[in-house]
Amino acid sequence: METTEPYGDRLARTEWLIAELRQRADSCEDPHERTNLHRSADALVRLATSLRP
Amino acid sequence: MTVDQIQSALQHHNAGRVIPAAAPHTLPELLTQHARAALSLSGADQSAWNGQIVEAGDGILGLAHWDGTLHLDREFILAPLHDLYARAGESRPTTTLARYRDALLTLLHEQSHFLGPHGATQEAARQAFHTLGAQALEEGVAEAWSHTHLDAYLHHLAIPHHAPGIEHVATRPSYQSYVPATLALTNYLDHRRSQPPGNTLHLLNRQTTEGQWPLVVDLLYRSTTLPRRVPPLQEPEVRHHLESHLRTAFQSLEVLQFLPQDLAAHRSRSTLHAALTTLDQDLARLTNAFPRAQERARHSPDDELELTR
Repeated sequence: METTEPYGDRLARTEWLIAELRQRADSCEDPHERTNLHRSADALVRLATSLRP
Repeated sequence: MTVDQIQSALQHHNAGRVIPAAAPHTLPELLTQHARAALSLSGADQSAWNGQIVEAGDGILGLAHWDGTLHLDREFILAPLHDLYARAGESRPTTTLARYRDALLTLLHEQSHFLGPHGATQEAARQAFHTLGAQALEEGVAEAWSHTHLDAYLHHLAIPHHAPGIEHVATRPSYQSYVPATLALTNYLDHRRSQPPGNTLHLLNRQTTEGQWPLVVDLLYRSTTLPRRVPPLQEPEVRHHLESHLRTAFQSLEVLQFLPQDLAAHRSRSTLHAALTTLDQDLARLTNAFPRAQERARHSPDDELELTR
C-alpha cells in the first residue's frame, strides 16, 4: 500500500525535516526536549535511508 | 581517557573478543550481550543485528541501520554506559541515573527494530517501511514496547546491581507523535480480542515492518464476525478497506513531529480515537452488509416464496 508521493519528493521532504528537527534540537534549552528532537530526527534518518536507492 | 576506553570497548566487541558473562560487568560485555537480552525478552524468532556497533555521526543518537549495523552516539549513549560500569555500585544523582536509563532505552529501542519472525529479511522490511503509515506504526511500537519493558530489560542485564536506584527513575517515552496512537490502537485490539493489556503490542514488536500492518488487520478482522459472514472472494477487499483506513490515520501523524511533545501526544491520541470511532461504524456497516448464512436464507426470495405458499 504505497503512498501517492513520488520517492524523490518524499526523500527530499524527509531530508528537509531531518535538518529542521536537528536545527531545533541545537537551539533547544530543555535537555529532554532536545533528546526528543534528536530521536525524532533519527526515525526520519531511518526512513530516508530506506528511500534511497 | 574515556574516549580511548569507548573506542577500545567498540573494537573489543566488534572483533568478537568478548566472552559473554552471566550478566555484563563492563561496557564491552554489555555491547556483546544487550541484543540477546532484547531478543529473549521479546520472544521474537530472530534479530537482524549483524553484531557490529559503530560510533554514530551526523547528530544521530541511535540508529538500527538497514544493513544490520547498530549506530550509537558517544555523548548520549556510549559515554553514560561506560560511566555506569566505571562507577559500578556507587550512589548517583537522579539526573545521572536518568541518563543511563535513556541510553539503555535507546539500546532496547534500536534492538526492537531488528526483531522479526523466522525468514524475515531487512530488505523486505526496508521496502515495507515507506508504505502508507508503516514508519509511524513501527517507531510507535518500538518506543512503546521498549518503554514498557525497560525495567524487565534492566533486571535481565543486572543493571540495578551496578546503578542502584535506576529502576525508580521516571523517564518519558519520546516519539509522542506516534506512541499515544500506537497504544490507542493496540489497547483497542487487546480489548476486542479479550487479551490482557500489552498483548497486541508485544505481538507487533516481534514483527518487522513487513508483517506489522498485515498482523494488525488480521487480528482486527478475526476479532469480528466478518470471517463467518464475508464470502471468500470478497474478503481481500474488506481487509484492504480496513487496512487502508488505519494506515491513512497513522500516515497523518507525521506532521505532528514539529509540535511540542504534549500537544503532539494529544493530537496523536485524538487522531486515533477518531479513526477507531469511524472503524467501529465501518465494522457495524459491514456486519449489516454481510448477513450470516442463516439470516441470508431467512431473507432470501425463495424463503419468502416458501412462506407465502
